Order: sequence, then C-alpha cells, then structure tokens
Amino acid sequence: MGNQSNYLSISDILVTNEKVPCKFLHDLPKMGFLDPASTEDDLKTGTNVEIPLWLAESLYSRRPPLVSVDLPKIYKEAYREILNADACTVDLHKLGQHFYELGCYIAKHDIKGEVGNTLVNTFRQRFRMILSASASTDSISALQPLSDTERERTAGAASTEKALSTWLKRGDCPLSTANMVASHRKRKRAEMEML
Amino acid sequence: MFGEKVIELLKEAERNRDTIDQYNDEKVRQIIEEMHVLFKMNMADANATTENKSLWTTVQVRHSALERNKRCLLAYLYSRMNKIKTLRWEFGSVLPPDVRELLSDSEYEWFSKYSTNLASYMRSLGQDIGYSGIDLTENLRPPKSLYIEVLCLTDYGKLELEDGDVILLKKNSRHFLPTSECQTLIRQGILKQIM
Amino acid sequence: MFVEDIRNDFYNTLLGNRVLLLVHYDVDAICACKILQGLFKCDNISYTLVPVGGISELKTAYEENNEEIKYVVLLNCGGTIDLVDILQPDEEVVFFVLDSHKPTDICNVYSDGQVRLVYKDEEENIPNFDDIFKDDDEEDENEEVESGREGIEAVVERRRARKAWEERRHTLMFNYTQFSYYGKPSACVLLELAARSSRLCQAALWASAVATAAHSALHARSPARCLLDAEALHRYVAAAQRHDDSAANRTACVVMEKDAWLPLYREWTLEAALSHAATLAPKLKLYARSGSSRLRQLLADMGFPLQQARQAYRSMDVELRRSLLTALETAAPKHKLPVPTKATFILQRPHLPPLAALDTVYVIMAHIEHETMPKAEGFQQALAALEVSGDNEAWRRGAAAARKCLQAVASLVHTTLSSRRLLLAGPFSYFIVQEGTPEAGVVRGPLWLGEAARWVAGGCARPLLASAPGPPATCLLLGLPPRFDHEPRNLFGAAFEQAATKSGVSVSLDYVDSSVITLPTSQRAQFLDALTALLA
Repeated sequence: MGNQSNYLSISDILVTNEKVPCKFLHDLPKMGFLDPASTEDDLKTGTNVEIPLWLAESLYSRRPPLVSVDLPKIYKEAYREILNADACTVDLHKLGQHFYELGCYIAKHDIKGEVGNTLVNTFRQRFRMILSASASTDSISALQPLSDTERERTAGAASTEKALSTWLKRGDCPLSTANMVASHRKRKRAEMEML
Repeated sequence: MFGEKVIELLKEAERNRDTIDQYNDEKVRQIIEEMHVLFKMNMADANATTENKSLWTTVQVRHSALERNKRCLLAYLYSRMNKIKTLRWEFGSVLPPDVRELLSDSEYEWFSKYSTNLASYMRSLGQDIGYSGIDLTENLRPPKSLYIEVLCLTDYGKLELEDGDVILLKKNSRHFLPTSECQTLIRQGILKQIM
Repeated sequence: MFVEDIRNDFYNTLLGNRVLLLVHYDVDAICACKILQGLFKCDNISYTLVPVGGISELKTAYEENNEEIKYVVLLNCGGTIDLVDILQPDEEVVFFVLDSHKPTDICNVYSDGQVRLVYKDEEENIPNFDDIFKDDDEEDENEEVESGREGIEAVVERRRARKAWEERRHTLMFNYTQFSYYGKPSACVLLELAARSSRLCQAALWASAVATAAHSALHARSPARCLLDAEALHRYVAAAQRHDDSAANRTACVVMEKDAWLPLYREWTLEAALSHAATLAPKLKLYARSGSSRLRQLLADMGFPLQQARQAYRSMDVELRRSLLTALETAAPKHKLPVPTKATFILQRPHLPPLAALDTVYVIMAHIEHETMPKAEGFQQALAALEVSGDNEAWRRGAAAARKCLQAVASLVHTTLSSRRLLLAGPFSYFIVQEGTPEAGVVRGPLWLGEAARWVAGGCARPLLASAPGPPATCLLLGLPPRFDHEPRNLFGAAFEQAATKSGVSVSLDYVDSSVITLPTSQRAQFLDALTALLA
C-alpha cells in the first residue's frame, strides 16, 4: 500500500482512477469538459470539480500547483468520527472500495494529518471482521461490507485455512488441476450453458 | 477522453483474474487513436503558446493524460504477459486451440519464444552432474508415492508411457500409474487424483 | 483351468506387470474391486480399471485397452462365456476370472492356461473332461485302418458307443447349464487373498462385509450359504478387534452386531424404513387399504408413538432407539412377520455416525443404477462410497438417492398389486412397468427391477417375470425363480435362450446374469407366448 506507485500494477491504476474533489486555482483553456456542469470551453479559476486522482496529482505537482485537493467525504471529519468509534459498522464496499489505498494517497492533502491514524485505527478494528469472514461458511453476507483489499485478504485467509485443515485431516494433499486450466474450463462450461 | 476507455479495458482484465480473455484488439486500437488525437491537439496548441502563454498548462495536462494512457496500456500488456507465462507452466508447451485463439499474434510469438527459452534452460540443468536436464514443470509439490490412482475426466486418447506401454485414457476409466507419468496430465485437468 | 494357489498362482503372477481390470456393475464386484485395488496399491501394480455392464461392453473394453497388456483380471464377468472364443485374444494374454455368476463356461474350465479361474467353487458339479471332450481326429484315423467283418463290427460298436457318449454328454451339459445361480461372493474370495498376503485392513473387511450383505439382501444365495460365506469374515473381524483395541477409538473399524435389517433406517424415519424393508413390506400388505393400519398396529405393539416413528431416526427419543431391537423382536412374531433383526456388520467411525453394511448395499445400487447419472460415473461414486476413512460424501449422496429409489420401488409395487397388474400366464406370473410412469426411470436397470420383482413375488410359489422399459423401443425382462428366498437357482436363463430360438424374437442376451435380457418392446407379447408354451 505504499505511496510509491507501482507503474504496472492494475490495482494501483484503479485506485488512482478514483475521483477526488479539487478546486482549480488557475484558468485552464480548452479544459471545460472536465466540469460536467459547465458548457464553456475554458475552465475558470475557482471551479470545484471531481477529477480522477492521477490527474489531480499531476495538476497538484505543478509549480505553482494548479489545483488544491480536498478530502473525499469518507476521510472527512464526520466519517472519521464514525470510523474511530466503530469501524465495523461501515460498509466500505459501498463507501470506499479502495479505502486504505486511496487513503495513503490522500493523507498528504490532509492538513490536520489525522487521516493516517484513521486508516491504521480502522484496519485494527476491522481485522476481527476479516478474520471471522474468512472462517464463516455464509461467506456472501460476511463479505458484503468489506472493501476490495479486505476481500482479497479474506479469500487468502480462507484458502490457507482450508489447505491447512485438509492437510491435518489426511496428512497429504492430492495433486490437482492447475488454477488457470480449471478456471478456463469452468468459464467455458458456463459459456456453453449460456448458449 | 481522458483515459476512460483504457480503464474499461483494465477492469475487464481484472474481473477475470484467473483466466485469460480474448486480446481486445478493437479497444486497444481505439485507445491508440485517442492518444494520436491528444498528441495532435498538443502539437497545435504548443505551436500557439507563443501567442497565448496560458495554453502551456493545457498542453501539460494533455501530456499527463497521454502518459496515463501509456501506463495503462503497458499494464494491460504486462498483466497478459504474466498470464501467458502461467499458460506455459499449466497447459504445457502446446496450447489447446481454444486457448490459443485468445492470444494476439505477437503474444503467441512471445509465448513460443518463452516456451523455447524455458525448454532450453530446463535441458541445460544438471548437465554437470550427469543429468540430461530437469523438467521443472513436474513435481511442483513433493511426490508422496511412486504410484497414484487417477480417474480420467475426458476422452483423451492414447498415452504412451516411458516404458513403452500404451494406455487408452477414456472418460471415467481408472488407472493406477507412476506418479511421474500423470502429473502433467493432472495439472492439465485430464486426470484427477483419487486418494 | 483352476488356479491352485490363489496367492502364488494368481496374485504373485501379476507382480511387476500392468493389469487390465474389468469389473462388472454389481455390488459384489465393486467390493471385490476395492479390495484388489488396495492390494495393487501396496505392491505398486499399475492397472487400468474399466467397468463393464455386459458382454458387448466387455468386448469393447478389452479391444480398446488390450495394447501391451498381458494380464487381464475379470471380476464378476466373463466366467459364464467362452472368453477365448468371444474376445479372440493373442496367445500370450492370460485371463484371471473371478466370477460369482455360475455355472462357469466349460471351455473356461478346461482352458489350458489362457483362462484361469481364480476360485473353485465346491458346489459346482463340473462334468469331467473326458465326458465332454473327445479327440475326433484320432478316431477317424482308426476307422480307416481297420477293415473286414470284424472291422465293420468294431465300427458299428464304436458308433453306438459314440452315440451313447453324445447323449450322455448332452444330459450332463443340460444338467450343468440348466440353472444359473451365484457362487461365493468374489469379495470374500479376495479377502482370503488379502489375509494370505498379510494385507488385511479395515477397508478390505468392510468391502467384504458389504458384499456379504449384498448377497443376502438381494437373495443371490440361500440364507444358509450366506452364513457359510461370511464365516471367514467373522473370524477376521473378531481377530482384528482383539488386535487393535487401543486403536479402536481413532480409526474406523468393522464390528459385528445385532442390528435391525431395515434399509437405511439410520438415515430415515422408522416408519419409512419399516414400510420399505423388502423383508417386511410384502407381508404387511401395504398396497391394501388395511396396510397402513397394520403398520400402525405394529408400531403400537412395539411401543413407539407414531409421532416418534415419523421423525428422523437420529432425533428420535434415545430410550426408544435403545429399545428398538427388542421391540422389533417381540412385536414382529405377533403379526406373523419374520423377525427383522440379524447379526450384521457395522462400520464404526470416530466422531461420525456408524454405517451399516445393508445400507451401503443400497447406496451402491443407487449409485450404479442412478436415474440421471451416467453408469460409469456412478461406478466411481460407488467406489468412493466404500471408503472407510473420513467424512464420506459419496455415501451420503448415495443414501439420498437410495431412499428415492426405494420409494419408487414401493410405489411401483403398490400400484402393481392394488390395480391387479400382476398377470397370470400359465406357469408363471408377470408384470410390466409402463413407459412414462415416474417409477420407470428408476427400474430401468436389473438391480432395482429385481428388487421390485422380489417384492411383488413376496416369496410365492410361482416364478415371476418383470419387465421394464429400457432404452428407446426396447425393454428389460427379468426372471425370478419360485421361492427365491430359499433356493435362488434360476431356470430362466436357459428358458429365455430356448424361447428366443423358438419364437424368432431378436433377443439380446448381453447381460452377464443370464436371467436378464433385453428385447424389442413390440415383440414382448410374442416372446411371452413362446415362453408360456415352453414352460407349460
């Protein structure tokens, strides 16, 4: 989850595609299309627009910065309070699919410097949820409120758990079909059934 | 306009993490088209900066969009490349026709080269200690017994064993065979180990 | 030719060779196969296992897999046909046959080494070699040499002798092949082999216990014979129990206990198990209106409230469950019912409910003659259901399917009897399962049709024929001998064959069990007429 961008990582690209609210500090000729509410060609100083993080970053890093980046609402005071009180009640899947990763990027635009603490706190509280979801049989409802990476962790934990228990039971795990071959087959079968 | 198409492409690839999709020729072409348009607009505006200094920022914004598109396309190709590598290890050096047609021509060329490289590397292994190469795609897990019981899942046809015996692999027939003979077929999903 | 020593002459010959294992679709064969697989696994004998359903499948299976194969082992198939004639094998191929279908084909018995019969059944009255075979060439030569009056007399004398011999041969062969029947379960024979190789394990004991239960539940052998067959098994189970008392809590083990002889009652409700038990249901006359009151009466005499009898056995009152056996034993005679308890084998599993051998028989039957699953897949499931360790998923799925099959059989029997579809045709009675009825799908194989037939016959003194729709436009015809529960020798095999030649109906005698045939549905009436004329 580092701030150093993984140039070829698809998940990092998807994170930087999240929109963040920005305020333009200078006029931008011919860039009016960035603001869906305006009909003009040029983008005027002082306009508030939500733009993808990667664009915001590149505009912000100009000297002088072309925009000032505001916090998305999930990282704002009101939500921070909720998250610090009981993070487990928040449906991160709905509110911030890339909550932690986006948070890492956004933290530097937070003047009070509290976003970082919130992230750590949230994960600490939600860790129990992840653990129980990974052991749960009713996986769909348990997975529901988890963010993308949380789901990934859960799936990883569940498969490790399963491998361990089969190993403990039989002391031996059978050779099996390679992953990609199996899923290719599965998909083909599903496609055949669709026809 | 600003790297939205390429995100669709990546999301598509991300959805099917376990399988490889058809190479999306059409979309890649459209994205490159978009990049050409951006580049031409930039050329025109860059020439006009002498009259209107504020256009310079516009050029820079477009340029970061260009770079963004490039990064996304590379990530797309890179993720496919990794999957193609896995194909070689899981399907073997000969791809089934339905998998083969998912790759673009240059991807298939890359696959063949990778395959040859891997093969010649494996041949070179262990020559100093008197082996004529080691098949690294075998024994990915330590074998537990010399012989294993397998169930045939598809009508595969004839299989020649190392000792010259020929056996017919027909759906739902059971065999008790040397582990070394079955591993590849198990990974390819033709046989299934029965404990 | 018979194998003298099962270990040295049969098993040890296979060591180090690749073996083709052809297994018939029946419970005993699958159990035997499980034991043999265990042995092969110990000795790293690589094999190819192909299940076969009939003689033509046996032929294709052999033809497809005979490349580089020197040894073929046949379980419960191939004994009753002339293997060399039918398969046309290369000379160096050796067939080991372990077939509980009898009588064994005489050519197999007197084959000089190509066909080797693994087990010699003492019950079989195999005619002597000299009575059956005679060297013809030798005689012809002699005839030419001699001449003159004495010569002619001698020739006449010889011809007379020859004719007498031929007649005698005919009678002998007729007596020998007249009835088809079952011999000792193959699994019990292989259990001996396992014991002699010191490879006796719980899996082998369990497989053999299931095979024994199958022979007795399906009335393949008379009750006395069943008991004798299981004698060795009793010994081994007792010995194994003495042996590892300490391990008993950790691993699954086979034990012998008195148990209710009711199908799947541990997985069902007591009421359902009682009304689906092949030994009780016909006597309770459940097809009649008074049947259900008779069943209620029985439960009342046993002291089981209806509410308890109707809920899943596992959640029944513990006291009632404990008293089940004594209650059955005291209440059954009052209703003139056979006592449905028996000393039988049970697989005790750690932390899991026990499995009864009888239940497993039905589970395997449900797998290999599944309504929707292809047969070959069912075979794999059946093998998996015999597994002793771990949570047996295949067993549970089979139990669910078996319950469905038993219900279908019961409803088929009830409609047949209550709507008087059991018809009388001279020497035998018969019933026909109509195509399109919901039960027709279940009884399209010989195992479940046989179950239905035995139920309908209910031990009456008449032979019975049952017919069910098979693959399109053909039907299955199965013959059940009279009083099958005491003397299961079946005369229908020979009768079918003769009726087929006389009537000219194109009957397919493909089944290994000769008392089961398939024929075109359109010619069924004609065939039954011919059979009536023949048996009258």
